[in-house]
Amino acid sequence: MKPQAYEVIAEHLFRSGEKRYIFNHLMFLLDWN
Amino acid sequence: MNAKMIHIEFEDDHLKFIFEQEKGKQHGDMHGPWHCLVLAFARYIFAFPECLQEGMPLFSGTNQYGRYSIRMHDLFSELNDDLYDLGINWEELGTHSARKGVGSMVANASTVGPPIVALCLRVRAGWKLGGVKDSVKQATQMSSAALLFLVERQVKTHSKTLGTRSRSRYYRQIMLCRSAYYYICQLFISVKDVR
Repeated sequence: MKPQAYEVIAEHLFRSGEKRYIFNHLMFLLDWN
Repeated sequence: MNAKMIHIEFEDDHLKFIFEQEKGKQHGDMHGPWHCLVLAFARYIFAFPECLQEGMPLFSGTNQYGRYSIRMHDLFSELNDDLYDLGINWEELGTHSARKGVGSMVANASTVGPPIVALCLRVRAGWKLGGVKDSVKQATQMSSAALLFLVERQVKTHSKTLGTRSRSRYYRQIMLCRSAYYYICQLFISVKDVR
């Protein structure tokens, strides 16, 4: 995945504020890092 | 592992921990709270405080990975336009796309390792191959077979006149050509960005 795409997705997950996306944000960062 | 005290400091009203090195250092100069794993974990704890109870799993429920996968697929669809602007087809993305593992490390600029297609199909057994990469897969198989056929035919044709040393040299050339071809394939796919 391009870093730019990662940036877009991570920011969207962070800013959405939806509870279901909080879990996904954590999993997404764990995968990336 | 490489953290030192100089990486920890106070700034205004918060503690700052600088990660000097991360796994693979895929893109280390990113800024923004959405990249912070510690913050993401803190938000998760506040959103799901029941995970702190004794004996409770950190990620409650069953089939967590399935839920994560479905939601991410929905998100990729939602971000279709933004991803399209970056030259990405959202349908080619999966939960594996953000993951770095041994396959990524092996595939990086290796001239002696396995080709990227073999990595996708064999090592990871789950990486998607897009249209371009499918073409490379076919080209790899065809070229490899054609290369072997041509050189072997040449060796057979001249087998009576060639000595043992010359035959060894031909077979060595096969291996060198294959390595070079795989390297070109990997470079080609790297430019197209392995998702």
